[in-house]
Formats: sequence, C-alpha cells, structure tokens
Amino acid sequence: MSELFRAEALEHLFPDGTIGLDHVSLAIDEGELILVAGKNGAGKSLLLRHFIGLSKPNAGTIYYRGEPIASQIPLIRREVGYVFQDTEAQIFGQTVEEDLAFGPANLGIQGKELEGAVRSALRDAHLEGMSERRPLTLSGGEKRRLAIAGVLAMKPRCVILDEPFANLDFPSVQEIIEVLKTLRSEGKTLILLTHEIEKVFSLASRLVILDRGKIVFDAPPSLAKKEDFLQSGLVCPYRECYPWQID
Amino acid sequence: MANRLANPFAFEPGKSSLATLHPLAKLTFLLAVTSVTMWSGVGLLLGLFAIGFFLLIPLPRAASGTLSSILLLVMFAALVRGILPGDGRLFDAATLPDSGVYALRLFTVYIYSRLFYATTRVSEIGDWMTAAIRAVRRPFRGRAKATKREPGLLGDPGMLFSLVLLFLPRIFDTYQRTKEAGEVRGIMLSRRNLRRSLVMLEQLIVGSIEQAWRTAVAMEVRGYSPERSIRLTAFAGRDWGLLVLAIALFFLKMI
Repeated sequence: MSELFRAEALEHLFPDGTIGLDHVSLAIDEGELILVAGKNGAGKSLLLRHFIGLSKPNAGTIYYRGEPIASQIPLIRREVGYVFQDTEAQIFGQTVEEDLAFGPANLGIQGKELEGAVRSALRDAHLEGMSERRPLTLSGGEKRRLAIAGVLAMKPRCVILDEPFANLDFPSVQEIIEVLKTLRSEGKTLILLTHEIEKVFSLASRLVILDRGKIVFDAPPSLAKKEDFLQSGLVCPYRECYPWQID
Repeated sequence: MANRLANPFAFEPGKSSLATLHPLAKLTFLLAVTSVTMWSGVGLLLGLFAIGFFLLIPLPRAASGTLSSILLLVMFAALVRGILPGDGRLFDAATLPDSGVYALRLFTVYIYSRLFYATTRVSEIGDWMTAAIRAVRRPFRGRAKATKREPGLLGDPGMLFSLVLLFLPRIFDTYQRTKEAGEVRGIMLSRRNLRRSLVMLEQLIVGSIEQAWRTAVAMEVRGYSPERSIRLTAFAGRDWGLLVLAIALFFLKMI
C-alpha cells in the first residue's frame, strides 16, 4: 500500500496559547479505514483540517503522496473529500442532483461524464430516486448521505468524515454504515473522526486515539486494551466498560 | 426546518415542461409578458391570465401562506387608489372596477414570475450572469493578470447570486431557531424589549457569519474557484419560438 498522508511532529497552538496538537506524527496508507477517536476537544477535527490544508501548523510538516501539502492543495481538493459535521453548510444545490454536480463541475467535469458521476454518487450513497428532491426537505440522515454523495461525486481516493453519526437515529446510522461498507469495498481510504467508535469498530483497520492533542494509541483496534479507552475518556458513562459491549 | 414560504425562488417544476426551456428565453418572455400585462386591454389581460393559470397546473401548489400574503399585497395595492379620495369620504367605490383590473394585472405578473422561478434553476441564471460579466471583463483581463490579483467572488456574480438566494431560507431558519431559543428562555420579541432583541440580533448575525464561513470552507474543499468553468446550454427550436413570442409581445405593447 502506498502512503497517502504523513504528518511529522505537528504542533498547533491556539491564539490564547492552548495546545491544539502536541508533536503529532502519523502516516496514513491508501486503502485503510482509520478510526480517529477521542473525546470532544481532543484535536481530531483540527488534525484532519491540517491534512487538507485548512489549518496551518505552528511547527511540523505534512506530506501528501510524498510531497509537502503546500504544493499539493489542488491535488488534495481533487482526491480528498471532506464531509463536515455541519452538513447543511456544505449543501449548495437547489436540488439533490444540482448539489451533487457542484463538486465535479468545479473540477471541470461536464456532459455525460458529469451525469455519470452524479448517478454513481447517488447509488453509492443510497439516494436513488431523490435526485429532484430539495435538500432542505431531506431528513438529517438523508442530508448526511447527500453530503457524503457530494464528496463521492468528485471521485476521491480518500474520504474524511467528521462525526458522521452525530445527531442521527439508529436507522440513519445503519444507512451511513452501509455507505461506508460500499466505499470500503471500492478500496477507498476512509478516515472517520468520531467518539462513537462502537458503531464502526469492527470495520476499522486501524484505531488512532487522540487525547489533549497527543496520539495515545495507534494500532489495529483489536490490540486496544481497556486502559487505552479509560485514559482517553472513551468509556460508557454508566460504568467503566467498553462502550460497544451490551449485556 | 425552513418553511417553504421562506424561499420564493425554490426550484420545484413538478411535471411542467417549462423546466426544459432555456432560462434566457424564459427571462425575455417574462419581461415581455409582464410589460404587456401592465398596459394591455382587459381582453388580452384575461387571455394572458388564463394561459398563465393553465401553465401553473402541473406545478406543485404554492403554500397557502405564500398565496395569502401575495393576495393581500395585490388587494392592498389595488384598493389603495380608492382610499381617502380627498372629499371627506373614507373610500371611493367608483374606483373598484379599475382596482379589480389592476389587481388582475398584478396577480398575472405574480403567476408568470412564479412560473419562471419554479421552473428555472438559480444556478442557470447565475451561470449566464457570470458569463456576461466575464465577456465584459475580457478586454481588461490582460491588465488584471499583470497586477497578479487573485480572482474574487465578485468575478463570479452568478455564484454570489446563487449563494444569496441559498442563504435566504437558511437565515430565516436561523432567525426562527434563535427566536424560539429566546422564547423558551423568556425573551419575547413581541414585547418590544430593545435590549434583549439586540442580544438576539447579535446571535443571528454571529450565527449567519459563522454559517457563511463554514460554507466558504466547504466550497473550497469541494474544489470551487471563482474561475470555474461554465457550460452554457444552447438555444433549441422551442427556445427560439419563445423568444419570437416575447418580441411579438413587446411589439404588441408598442402599438
């Protein structure tokens, strides 16, 4: 597997002096499904914003496919999709179809190729039959899938999803998991930022746990021990157990 | 969720075949038909009203709230000429026939406007706006390149236009949520409490700015650039036909 991203000694300080990222080094290979976990404020979103060039580090370097990202931004825009937690902010079309065409059209894709990209994104995100719907009339789960589809229409190699299960009911979560399975079967690199790790634990090939801006665990999920979750606050609020264990 | 009422520019063509017509042909026809509607005789007016009404049938029905607001505005605009005629009376009943015709004119304009907006994507109009501005700016492009200025969103007025219309329902939605959040905490706008209203207004402005910022970041991530490529659709036979009809209507108005 070839390396996609590599961060070396990344540091981020907020203007008030708070440490956002503390000497973070991380490499991500193509085809992985990485779960980046950590409690609220651990630095998950901040780390991935650095990866796509939306934030600038105070120290350290990030590489995309072996080159510093400063020179790779156009390529990253083409190859890396980012699904934000606030899905409404990234919906631009008056209809589902129009929104899906926004990204690929920005990349200069037109005509039949554009139609094909929109069709395959609709299929991958399980939104068939909704192409003429107005985004504002969609449910929370459908909007989340539309946001994912909008990114998929750009045919990315890698998709980053920030809290993909936030505010969703169980059927909507199941739909998102089905979409993730489809993308995984297509060999896309998936990076999931979430604290709801129980929902995708079995799908992940690697678990990265962040705590106060530091990586405290980085290995296949099966190697994680109870202490790793306890230390980083990823425990069931009612008792100290693995959050996905149900009696 | 935003009310349908909040976005009068919503693209909802239903089964209308007007959605397949060229936006420029439709815009020209809308200008012609509204111009004729405001000056034509009653016979032609009734004809245009009937045609417009017939074309409205395949569209989804407008929300009753929208329709009643429009009707209220139309009635007020029509009846205002009879109010306080200056001879001591409150209303001059003799103006009613003229007011009726005027109300019909305004309502016909509304019908054709709705036909246009419901069957035309904002992005289609926006793309033509951007193409027109680019054509005007083309002779000056060499000078701009020499100064190495980054192209701003003002260079893509079509996208600016689309975003403004996209934001209207979202701002109403944010306003509604801010208002409700204030109400459950005891702030009633209806009590005209200026200080508390200002706090809510501040929340609304901050919320809107934050949303605009998130949208800008999301646009960047989805590959947007003000120099985006635009594919304009060509005129088909039906579009030329509509254009000729629009010109004929303009001609009719002149004679």
